[in-house]
Amino acid sequence: MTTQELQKLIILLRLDILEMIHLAQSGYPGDSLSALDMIATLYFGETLMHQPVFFCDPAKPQWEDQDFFVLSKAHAAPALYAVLAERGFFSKSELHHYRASGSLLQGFPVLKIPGITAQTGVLGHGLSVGIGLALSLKLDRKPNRVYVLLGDEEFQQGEIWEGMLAASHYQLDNLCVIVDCNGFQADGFVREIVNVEPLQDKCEAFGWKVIRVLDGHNIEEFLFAVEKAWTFQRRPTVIIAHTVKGKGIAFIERKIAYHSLPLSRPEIQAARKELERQLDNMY
Amino acid sequence: MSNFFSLHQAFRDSLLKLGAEHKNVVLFDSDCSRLSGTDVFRRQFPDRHFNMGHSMALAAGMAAGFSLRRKIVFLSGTSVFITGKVYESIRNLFCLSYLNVKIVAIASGFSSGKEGAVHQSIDDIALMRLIPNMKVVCPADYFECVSVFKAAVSDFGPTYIRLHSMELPVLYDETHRFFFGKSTILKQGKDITLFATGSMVVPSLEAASFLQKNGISVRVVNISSIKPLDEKLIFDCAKISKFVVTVEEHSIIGGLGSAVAEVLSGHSPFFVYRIGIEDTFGESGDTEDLYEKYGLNAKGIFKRIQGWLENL
Repeated sequence: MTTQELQKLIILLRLDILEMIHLAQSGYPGDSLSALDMIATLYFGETLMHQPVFFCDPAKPQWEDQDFFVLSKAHAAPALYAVLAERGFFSKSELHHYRASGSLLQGFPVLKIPGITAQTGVLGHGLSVGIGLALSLKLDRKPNRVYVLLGDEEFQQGEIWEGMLAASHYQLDNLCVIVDCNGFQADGFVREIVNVEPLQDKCEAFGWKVIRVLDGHNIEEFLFAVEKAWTFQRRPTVIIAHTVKGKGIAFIERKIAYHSLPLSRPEIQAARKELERQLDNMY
Repeated sequence: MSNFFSLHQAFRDSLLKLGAEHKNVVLFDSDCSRLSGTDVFRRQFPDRHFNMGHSMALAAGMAAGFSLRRKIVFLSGTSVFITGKVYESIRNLFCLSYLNVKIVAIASGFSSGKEGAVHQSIDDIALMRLIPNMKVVCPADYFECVSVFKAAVSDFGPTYIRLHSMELPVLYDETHRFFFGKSTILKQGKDITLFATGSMVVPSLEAASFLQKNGISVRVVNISSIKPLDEKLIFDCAKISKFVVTVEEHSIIGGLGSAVAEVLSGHSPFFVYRIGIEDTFGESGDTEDLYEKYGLNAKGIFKRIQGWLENL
């Protein structure tokens, strides 16, 4: 998919996400939107050689040669669900039943959902699981890659730092961690609650290669970072991507109130108008 | 009952055998491979042994990652820490996702007597039994333990295997087969039934023979599979007993005693007496001395039962 096609898709997926959270009357719109662009770029992006960035096959969810994506910041599940549905892992109609009793799409990703390769839901678990996947792939001498998407607030968890030690100890160059640095957590600014910065210095001190992405919503910049990540040998990579919570909808951008607040019907209408304008501006 | 073997020995022997049979068996240790003796597995299969040191939560998460790629994962650690410290990973990764991870908890109960209360696991059965999908096993001797490992590898899903580190007298032989949800009657009797688990099976047998000398006929059942529980056998034994007694090296809250009481409370009234650690922490001391103090040896069990018989 070209960058422009991807940009258009992301705008449409934003609306899907807001709709599903509205219908569920529960969910995390701000963080779903901050992570969406990077998740969509992974699943639909192409390398300079026109190869898919991320290997997966909706027809074969248990495919031996697939890459692994672990959504450690699992409250951004609507973004992943919208991308997986678009990619064809399940019907888009499932999105309307997000978080409903008896539905496929649970609040947080579970293994029974096609395309989900690791269950998450507790902040701080995803990196450990990703390291387990990456090390087991090394053991079997397989070339598959492992991506873990973390929120910046997850660095407040001790388990993350255990993982930072171990991944460089085991020289996991098949592991790429992406940090969705939107600077917010449920109670406010990460820097005011328990500051995690300077993250780059800390990661480098732990033996990781660090790539900074100044705009996590810039598809080309992010794609370039991911391609670069796989050029390093014997060291794991972390992409520290600066993002905007609630990206794409001006009235919820960087608003802590919308961390876990579904948009009302009139707000959805306003958001739809704004997204339509974004589409118009593309041409 | 002259031969003594430790369950850690059974763990080591089983690992070597299963590691050779199944190329997808891997072991995660948490800086206790010298205590459990799983060093031998590391020497035999260096690629498949991962000592994660004190990063226990990480070890659990990595175990989940390995099992997602169809590995049979053994996660070994001391009982207190491998349950309490990583409880939430066990709950949310292993059990909720139904992953094929076998937790091997060494040094359970008062095994680490002299270390004191911090290292004595008296609540681990309760914690593990509580989680949906988890199986909880507490083998009583070397041969049962070997059979438990064989059954655990043939089975799929999260399992908690609780091992005592003392050398225990041999009760069975190579022909013994362990099945999840099945218990074995070690001694027949008609007056009362003792349900014992793990290290408490042998003292219960000894207490039963003291009682026998006093004219009380006691049945002794080894409940090694605490979850799933052999409910039918427990009910059948209770029906024909004056009362039943549970014996475990664990708190009387939440462990075998609670499990048996939960089964029987659904039926007509039964007297269930629980012997174990009475809602208190342990302390430093030689394991045998602690058994004496907390009433967990044959003499202690005998005395308690005599008291209950007098009040009957």
